[in-house]
Amino acid sequence: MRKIKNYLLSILGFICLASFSTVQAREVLRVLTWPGYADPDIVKLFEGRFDAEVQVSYVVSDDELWSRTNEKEGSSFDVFAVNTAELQRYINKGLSIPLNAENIPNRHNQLPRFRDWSSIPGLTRDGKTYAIPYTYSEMGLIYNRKLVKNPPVSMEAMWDKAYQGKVLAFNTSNHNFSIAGLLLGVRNPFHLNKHEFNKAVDKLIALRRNVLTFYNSPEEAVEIYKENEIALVFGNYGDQQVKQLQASGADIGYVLPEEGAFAWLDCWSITRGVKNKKLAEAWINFMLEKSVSNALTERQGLQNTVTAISDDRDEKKIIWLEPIADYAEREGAWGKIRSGYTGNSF
Amino acid sequence: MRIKNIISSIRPSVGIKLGAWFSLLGILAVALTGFYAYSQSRALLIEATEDKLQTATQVLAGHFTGSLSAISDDVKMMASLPTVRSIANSMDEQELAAYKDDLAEIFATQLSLHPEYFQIRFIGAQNHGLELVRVDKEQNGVRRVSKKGLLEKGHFRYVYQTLKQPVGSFYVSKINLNRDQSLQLGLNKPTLRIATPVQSNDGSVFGVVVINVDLQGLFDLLQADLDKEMRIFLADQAGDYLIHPDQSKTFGFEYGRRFLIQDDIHEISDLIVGLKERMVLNTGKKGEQPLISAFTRVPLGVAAEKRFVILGIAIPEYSVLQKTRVLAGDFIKIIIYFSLLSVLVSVLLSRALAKPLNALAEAAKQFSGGKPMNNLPLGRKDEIGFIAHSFSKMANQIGEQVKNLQLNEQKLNQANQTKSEFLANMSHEIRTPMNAITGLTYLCLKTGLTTQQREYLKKIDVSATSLLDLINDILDLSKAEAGKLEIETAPFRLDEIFDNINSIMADLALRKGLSLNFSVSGGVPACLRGDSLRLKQVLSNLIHNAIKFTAHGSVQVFVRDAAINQEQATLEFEVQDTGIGITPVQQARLFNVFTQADSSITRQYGGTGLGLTICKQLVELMGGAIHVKSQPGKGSTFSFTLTFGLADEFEALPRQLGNNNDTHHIPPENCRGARILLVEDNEINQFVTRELLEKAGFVVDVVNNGLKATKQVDSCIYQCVLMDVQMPIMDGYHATQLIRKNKRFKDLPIIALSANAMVSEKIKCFEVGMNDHITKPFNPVDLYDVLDKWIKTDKQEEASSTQLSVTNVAASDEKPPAIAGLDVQEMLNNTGISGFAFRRLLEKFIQNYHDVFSEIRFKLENHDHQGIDGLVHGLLGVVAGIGATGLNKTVREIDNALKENRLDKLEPLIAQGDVELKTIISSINKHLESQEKESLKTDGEDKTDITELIDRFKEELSQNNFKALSSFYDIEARLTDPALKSSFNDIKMLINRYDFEGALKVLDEVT
Repeated sequence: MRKIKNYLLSILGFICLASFSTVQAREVLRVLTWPGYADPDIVKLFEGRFDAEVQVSYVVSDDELWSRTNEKEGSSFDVFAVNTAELQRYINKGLSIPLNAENIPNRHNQLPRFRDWSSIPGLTRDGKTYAIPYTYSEMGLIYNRKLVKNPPVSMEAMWDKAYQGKVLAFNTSNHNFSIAGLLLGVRNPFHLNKHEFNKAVDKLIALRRNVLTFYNSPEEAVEIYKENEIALVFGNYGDQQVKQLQASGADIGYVLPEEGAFAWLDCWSITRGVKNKKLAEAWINFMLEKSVSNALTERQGLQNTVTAISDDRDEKKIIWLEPIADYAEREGAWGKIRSGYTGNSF
Repeated sequence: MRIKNIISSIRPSVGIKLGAWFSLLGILAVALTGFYAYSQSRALLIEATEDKLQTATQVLAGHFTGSLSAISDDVKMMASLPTVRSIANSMDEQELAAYKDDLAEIFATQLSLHPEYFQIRFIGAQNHGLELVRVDKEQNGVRRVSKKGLLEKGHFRYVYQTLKQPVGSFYVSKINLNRDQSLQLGLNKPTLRIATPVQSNDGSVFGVVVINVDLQGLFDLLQADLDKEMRIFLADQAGDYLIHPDQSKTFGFEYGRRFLIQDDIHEISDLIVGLKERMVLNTGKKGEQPLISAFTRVPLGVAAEKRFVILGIAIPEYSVLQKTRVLAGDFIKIIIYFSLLSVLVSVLLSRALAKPLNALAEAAKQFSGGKPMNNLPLGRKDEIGFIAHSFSKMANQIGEQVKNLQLNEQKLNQANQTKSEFLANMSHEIRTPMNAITGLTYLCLKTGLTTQQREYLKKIDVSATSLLDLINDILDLSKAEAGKLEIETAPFRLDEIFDNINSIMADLALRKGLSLNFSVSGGVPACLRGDSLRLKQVLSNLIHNAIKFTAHGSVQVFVRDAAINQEQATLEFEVQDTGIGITPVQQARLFNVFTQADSSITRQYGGTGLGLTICKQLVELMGGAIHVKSQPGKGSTFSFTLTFGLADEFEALPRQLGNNNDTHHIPPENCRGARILLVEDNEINQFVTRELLEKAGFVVDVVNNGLKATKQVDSCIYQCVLMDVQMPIMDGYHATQLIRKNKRFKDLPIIALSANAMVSEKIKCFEVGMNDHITKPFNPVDLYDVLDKWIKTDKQEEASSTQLSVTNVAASDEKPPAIAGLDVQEMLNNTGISGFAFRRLLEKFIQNYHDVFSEIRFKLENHDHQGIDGLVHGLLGVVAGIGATGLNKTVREIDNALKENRLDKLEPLIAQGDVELKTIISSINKHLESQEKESLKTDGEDKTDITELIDRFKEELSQNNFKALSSFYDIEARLTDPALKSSFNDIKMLINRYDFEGALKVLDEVT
């Protein structure tokens, strides 16, 4: 009996050993990103090419991204996707580390607008590059071709009485204040002084009075668009949202305002806790390959940094989002505005 | 390997096997029953739980809709209040204010009545949905919001959607967290707004009445009624969780992240899209505990928007199956008890079954071990009894067959024994007459004969010798094959062996016109230790073969040193010919018994084919290996490698020069006059042996059996007894034993004469007390050698005999030579050598020691005292050996001086020794020169003889007489002149072709 037991144990041990050794064989890359940025087929391609195992985790909000990259002092992930505005607090806290541009040769394929990293606010600090642009989206203005005869040229259209009760704005504090500031002609829409701020509050109350409602998600926007007569939609989600609305059968146009369109720019950055920096840089380089970047555009409707858009948008002014200096004030004020406070009750 | 061992080590008996099978079957049956019962009860339990959960969800859903319908009734009631209508239609500001106050009162009352209401408003359609009357619940009660605090709500869905609804219908909002910053209570609470539109009298939409309901109370209530293990899930129509056991997943959409029920449970999609109203699930997400759950779609009132929520209750399967686990535990216990019981029963059962089987097995074991079988269950009437009977019968048959086999084996052994005895007898029977033939031939050759008679006798001698060789070959082979061939280890000189072989083979080669050359490389030591006879046998055999199979060219023998160290030397021997060669196929079976390269060869060249087989056996016995390389038509090379011990010069000096078929022996001088008793029954042998002994100067008495010998030794003093071992009346063994019983004869040398050459025979002779053994037919030299060995010992004890012997030697015609400084007689006594060996010894002495004193001086100057010791001791042995008495004395003094460390004494002694040595050397040289002259003289005498022979040869050649052939060999044997020898090689070739004319021509030219 004892012999049989030993025999079984030795077989069991052997199986364990065998399976253990196969598990150990490949290098692992931990990616934290947004849905659609690393589809399984793309990941498989990378795994095959670099003989590595890629573990992808998704986030759906900036807050979630922040809290997850902060887990275990930033050692839970190797590489993550973050926009330039958000990136700044990661750099401040040391969660994001500089990368070696030499290891990302595909940067030479990027469009001229993205090639000069120092021209994009927030990408570099003290001469070191912390992130590589991957995808971006401008916040333009969507208009209903049936109701709007001439395509609008400015965000000011949302305040147009002609469209009262037919405007869909986005329920957000920061962008709304920035837009208001830009339209008011302030020097820095990301940093409003007291006076500018008060004027922006009034401007936003006026907006509230002209909209049907403020939407929270692109899906909700589609829903409201279908139920109500909508002339203008603030395109907080850019091309992605345009695609979604078009898919639901809406006959819409999309313009970038002449005063400049705000745009977020998502980049790849490397965490402090990276296990194999070379592999993480290989991942970033891989993301900049034409086929991979184009797949993102085709599938998600997001712009990539290597292929130019065919229409005239390239010539339009883009204002890359920057961190908001008065974030809390904006949020507090926006809460009141949305609740229905009038100028008197503020 | 290990696994195999383990498996093979488990060899259960029939009893255990039977028991194991019975137990296994029993356990299996119980386990199956248990499993069936367990799974049945499990299924029933799950079914019951599902029913229970379904009922519970329905109850809760009813609760939910009931609450909503009550709120709807309240909203409806308030919207239809006259006050509300008045506000909607009044144009007067004061009136309006009063109505608003009234309405606020009503709202406040309602808020107080309903704890879940936290806000009731009347909102106008105008002024961006500005609130007209609003009453909030606060910590301290209810508060009507002042005009200044009223907000614009037109952009909220519950306002703009309700305004679109017909009067009397309801709007039920999405359940979210209230974010109204102006609220004190209800902020961030799960909030449901139920609104209804209000029209003015003209039918236009005037506003909405809205009640904000805090659903937290309802949510708590839903969960309060549930069992401890149950979990409640609530999701809105988009699937966002409103209630989830994990609080962080509720209202995720309010915080920018969505947690959807359909992502967790895909089946829920059917409820969301309205395919199903309710469902029961028994699933769990991968890696999580399985859950049993019931979900239902709960419509939120009769609102136009058809809102609904998904309500579900779940319970972990494990908590449901708690009872079944108890059941399973009981079953396991039953299985264990049953297993024990079944093991017990099956052990008893199998014992009953296995006992007779074991008895059979035991009997079989006994039988296979060769023991008689006990306990065979023959008494049983069943199948086992039948097997036992069959088994017993079979065993008897086998027993008989074994007996037969043993009998046959005995017969075979007997036959083999008989064969061995026959072989021994045969060899005796053949050797005895052979002894007579060779002995008598020898004696006959000593008498005056004509040349022809001499030639015939020589041929008889040659034939007899080859016949003996053949017999010896056969005996050697059978001994080797039986592993009874013994290899000696004794000192010998390699050059002696080659001289010996050359003396036999050179003639053979010459006759075929071949040259036979020996080439020994420089590093090969002269003196070795090993079996010289066997080595000679192998080499002779190979050379003989080489000559036999070579028609033209040469046979060359090479000896090379392969490896030499302090103790031994490995030598490589090679016999190379330019003969017919051997094909690879023939090579493969060359060393097999009775095989020649080709059977046609036997006809053409003769021979038994035993030679190479014996060579191979011998070489292998001596620890070597033999190889052949050959190309047909070009020649063959046989090579072998052997390792010998090293011997020093004197050790290896031959004690006698035998074995070369030289008929001019010198009988042992020091033995002459000794009395010998010859015990031999065969008259011819008696005659031959007596002749040989008497010719050598011994006094011989002869008796023809052992009994007579025992009496004869008493009647006379004998120096030695030569005892045949096989005799009638009493054999030699018995006779020896009897003689030895008398203490007087304990030292009397008794030498066996036996035709049996086997070692066993020798051992038997020694065992009965004989001193030595001579194999018949014996070579006269062997006989003399053995006698010399034993009788000499005797003489050292008996001075008178020695005296006699010395006198005899002095009186003999071969006087020992006189050499100044040497006592030649002493030397002969010491070494027992004479003639050629004596010359050789002297030559070696000069060669090795002519400069010994210079060497001693040199070493002295270099303080190499150890070196001097070595030289002096070597010299001491040598000078004593050669009878240099004077020099011996001087060297001894040198040795003493060295021992006493008197270096001052050394120089004069060395000088003296040097002078003495030089004198000895010069006189040895003189002696050697005179010897040479004498031999030349003999040659001269021979020349006259040869002239006569040549004349006769010429005559024979001219007459074409075939006698010329024998004459040629006569002449050739006597030739010494090198010029003549080379001419005779040409003549030999011619007469071998019977070209007598040509031969005569050449002969005429040279003579």
